[in-house]
Amino acid sequence: MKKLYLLLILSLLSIKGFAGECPDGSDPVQSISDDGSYFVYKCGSSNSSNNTTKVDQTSTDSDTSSQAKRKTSSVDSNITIYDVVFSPEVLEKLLSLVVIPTDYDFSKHQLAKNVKDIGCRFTMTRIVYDVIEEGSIEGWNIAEGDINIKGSNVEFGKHARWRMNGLSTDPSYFRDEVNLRLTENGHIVGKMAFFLLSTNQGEIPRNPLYPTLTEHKRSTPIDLNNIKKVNAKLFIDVEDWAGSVMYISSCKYQ
Amino acid sequence: MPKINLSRREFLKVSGASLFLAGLPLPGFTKVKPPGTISVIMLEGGMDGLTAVPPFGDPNLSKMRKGLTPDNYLKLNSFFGLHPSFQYFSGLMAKNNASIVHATNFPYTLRSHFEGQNLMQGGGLSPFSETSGWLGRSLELAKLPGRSLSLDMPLILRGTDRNDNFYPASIRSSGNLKTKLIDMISMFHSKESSQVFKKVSKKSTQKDSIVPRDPASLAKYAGKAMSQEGGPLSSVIKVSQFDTHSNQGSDEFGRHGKLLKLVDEIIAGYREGLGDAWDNSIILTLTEFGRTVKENGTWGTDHGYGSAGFLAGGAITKSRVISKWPGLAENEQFDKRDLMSTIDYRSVCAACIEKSLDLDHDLIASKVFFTPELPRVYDLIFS
Repeated sequence: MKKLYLLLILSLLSIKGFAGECPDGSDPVQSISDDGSYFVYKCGSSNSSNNTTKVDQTSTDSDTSSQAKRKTSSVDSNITIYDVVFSPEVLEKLLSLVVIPTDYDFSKHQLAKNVKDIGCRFTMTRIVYDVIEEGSIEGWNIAEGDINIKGSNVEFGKHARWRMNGLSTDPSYFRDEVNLRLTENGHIVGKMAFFLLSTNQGEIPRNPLYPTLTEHKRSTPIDLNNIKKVNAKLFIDVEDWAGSVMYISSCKYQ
Repeated sequence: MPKINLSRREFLKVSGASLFLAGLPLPGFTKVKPPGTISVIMLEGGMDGLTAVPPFGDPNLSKMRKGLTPDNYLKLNSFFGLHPSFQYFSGLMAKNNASIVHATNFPYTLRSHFEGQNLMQGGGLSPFSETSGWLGRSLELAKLPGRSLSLDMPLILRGTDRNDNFYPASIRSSGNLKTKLIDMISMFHSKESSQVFKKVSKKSTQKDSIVPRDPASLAKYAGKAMSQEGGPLSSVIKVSQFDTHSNQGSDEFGRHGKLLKLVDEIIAGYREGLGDAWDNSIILTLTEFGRTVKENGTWGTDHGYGSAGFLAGGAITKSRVISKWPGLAENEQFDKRDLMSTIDYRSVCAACIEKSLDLDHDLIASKVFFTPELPRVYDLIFS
């Protein structure tokens, strides 16, 4: 008889342990233990509708920080959401991996201020360094058209075009893949899609390069004090063997 | 009958280019602004989800896969890691724009590439049961066109006559193609058939046939196209050779790791190309099956069942790993050899369709996947 009572008590305890309710009346949430070897049941906040998720309390992760595990009651009660949690150091490093080729930090430059809207003509030629150290400027334009300055923003105009065939014929490179600014001393800085090599028909097209435009020592910057007589010559380092010179002239206030 | 006056060289130019022209773009324009875009990366050969997203919290992982798990995985939480090949994807996870579904796949357990690939594209109840694909049927339901970035029209996109396939190529002199032969052939066909030849003729003069052929550039091109007002809503890129029976490798320099790197670059390409359209985009991977839990005798793995699915895009606003983890112990494996699939990946596809095309889940479940009782996992991914 004593054994029967003991069995009855143990059964009640067992039911309470595995199928009991939380204090707020909700079901306990099943999750995997920190070492992944067994299931743990914890009470969390109650859900208000079928589509909301129950949030379990966080557990400590030795390396990073806490990890929240949640599960839904709408689909399959055993599907677990493992939140992704990174330490601040790791997070900063990871965020730096998601960059666009034209991303550029302009904070190290003194950007131009109070410049009225200007429209200019530009041409770009290639400068090749394989024969002489200072490079030899080729006698044909790799790109040409119009360039506009609004505040410190520098944008290429509707008539800007690359002459390198292949992908360069796509006008979106001058429109969408340019991130340039004008500095207060007349240099153009930033990053842009750049076609240094031409593609013949039948050749596999080449993706653009994304050189950084700097305040180059050899450049003659845009004279912001004498816009009507601008004759700028801006050097662009692209690759070891060749770069480019961008000539800007015929500027007018818009 | 008009006299066809073409030189042999001109004829060869046209006929030789016809294969190429069949794959050139004819954009599928939409009439109504869609809520989002959906892009699929098909990982053919059976991607090893246990290497890509190692569940290091499972004590059996290190026992069974010593030579396959990278040492330098990124810890996502206290249970799952991420392969070092996924550099860009890890950045997206940090930005809360990427998630992973683990121990999942289409309900197919017979481990045949042909059958598995057919089922993951067809989305039917059994392999070769459908002549159209789940994405094509979805686009048809939404009355929206799509586009495939491959030479053939893959099964996954079949289902709507407004789809178009495209595989960029550049053949010498094809830009100067004379369309005389096409025009003449067109004259001898019915109105409907002649439309096809007109399409071919139009394609032959389009400039955007010039795109580098590597998958990342294709993804960027696809992203750019989808970002345009009235551009296509969907794209499919195929990566093969995941069938790593031998010398699979563990880290980013191994055979499998290099393929994962390619997937990472494709996702980066999409991100770059989509620009602001990224915010409403969803990209998901598919694979026909996972691989065996245990490493085989040739430092590889064999055909299995459950794998992992990668999701990225601005439509995701909270990064997470979603799983009903089955365990890796032998008695927890499918057929005592494979990672069990505990989440039907069709549910994941359905959630992505619901998000991007604004279709009702029940409609997707019954009309696209022919499974009215298909569980809805939308809230797990997008809430």
